[in-house]
Amino acid sequence: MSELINNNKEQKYISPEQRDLLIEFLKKRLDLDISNYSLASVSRRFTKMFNDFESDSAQEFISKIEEEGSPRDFFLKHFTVNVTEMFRDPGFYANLVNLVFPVLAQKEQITIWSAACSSGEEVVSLAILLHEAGLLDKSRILGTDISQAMINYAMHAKYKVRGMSGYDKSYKLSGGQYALEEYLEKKGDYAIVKPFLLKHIEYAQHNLMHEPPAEGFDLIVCRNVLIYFDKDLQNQVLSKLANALLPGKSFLALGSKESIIFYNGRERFKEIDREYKIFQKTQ
Amino acid sequence: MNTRSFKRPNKVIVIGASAGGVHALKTLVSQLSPDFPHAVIVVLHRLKNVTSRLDVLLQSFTRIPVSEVEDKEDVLAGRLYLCPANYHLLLEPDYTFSLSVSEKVNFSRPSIDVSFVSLAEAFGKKGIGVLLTGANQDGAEGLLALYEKGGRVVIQNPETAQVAVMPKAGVARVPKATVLHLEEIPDFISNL
Repeated sequence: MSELINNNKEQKYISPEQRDLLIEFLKKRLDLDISNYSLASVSRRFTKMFNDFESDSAQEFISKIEEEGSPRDFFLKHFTVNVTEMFRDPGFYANLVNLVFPVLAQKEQITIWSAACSSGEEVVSLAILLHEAGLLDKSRILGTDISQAMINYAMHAKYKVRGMSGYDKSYKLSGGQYALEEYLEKKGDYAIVKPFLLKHIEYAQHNLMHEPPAEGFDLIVCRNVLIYFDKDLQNQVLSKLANALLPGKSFLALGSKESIIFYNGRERFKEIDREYKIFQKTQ
Repeated sequence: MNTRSFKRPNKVIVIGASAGGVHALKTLVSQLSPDFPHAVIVVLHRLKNVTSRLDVLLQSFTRIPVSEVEDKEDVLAGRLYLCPANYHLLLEPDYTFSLSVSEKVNFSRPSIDVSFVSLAEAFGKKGIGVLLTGANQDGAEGLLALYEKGGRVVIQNPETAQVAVMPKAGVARVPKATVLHLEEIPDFISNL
């Protein structure tokens, strides 16, 4: 009977013992502590990597990683979730423009941190909306990611044209007033971000578990990252983000299904958008 | 004071559905009693960027509290949880939910396979997978993973499903599954 489903390759699932062996290897040999990551997500990523690399055991998998020139970068490139798009959740961007930008507009300078920015689509989206609000000239956006490979990709500022029509739709739903072509120049299969946006953008490699790359941010956007952490690590990371924000009139934006309830200092924030999880730092 | 329970569920039930799913779910959830001792989690293929209030709709058919899942929320008895659009839903062994925005699986996010596999890994014998109507093969592989970990596998009878493709794929992958008419499923899962 099962031959009827021909596209189903035999899936291998990683056992808890193999998973724990790998977690230990990462900590000891690659200086990567993922012991406070969501167990279910870690299992899923490992299972995917096992199947992609056709490994049958943790030992075999480890040998494969160690053969690479830069095992840490190689592992992170495949382990971290790099699914991102421009203007993901247009409702979020629309509310950011309506609720947060008017407060930012009163400031002399605006510094924004897009934490765990992957290949930079969110950073570019923010720059475009800041430009349309007349705020880009006094803004600086820092994009960081744990993976150097992703940061390199983001710095190239080249995106596949194939995704653009969907992005254009989301851009308009976000309140975008023109067309994405104003901001991205088509060259063959790629769309390249124009220099007038790029000069306000910087990228750097950064691990959210370490101290923030700077402080005094007016806005930190960290969406759909905490979901990969357990409650403890969510608390630790949120505490670092909170400390990196300016006291008063600064904002934190999380993913729409994330929250600050596991953060011990949650009373430092006031929720200003329940649906899209935008918070204002009050103390 | 509300009388909602904050107890751990006896069993964790994941229901997967696609085309025709909303109609089937209405029938199913309307027959669950308020003292239901298990947790029910619905993973339905939905359109992204469409803010349809499926939680509100389903709530109008059942006395069990319905809510859309937030990350790391507890999995409690007598509740009906809905997987949010555009996220994969995973289960943690400590009876909490995790969400993920990783790659689509079977062209779907949420993917029913992803939730069934996670159910199998987190809860094994305490897991129940229910596969309803749908026009693709998502869920079949995950049902097999659950079956192999000792979980119960229930599939809507393809002959009476609105769209037979998905339950058929499930039966092909797990021939020993319990195949039931939609109306029989609520009683069956309540008494497990």
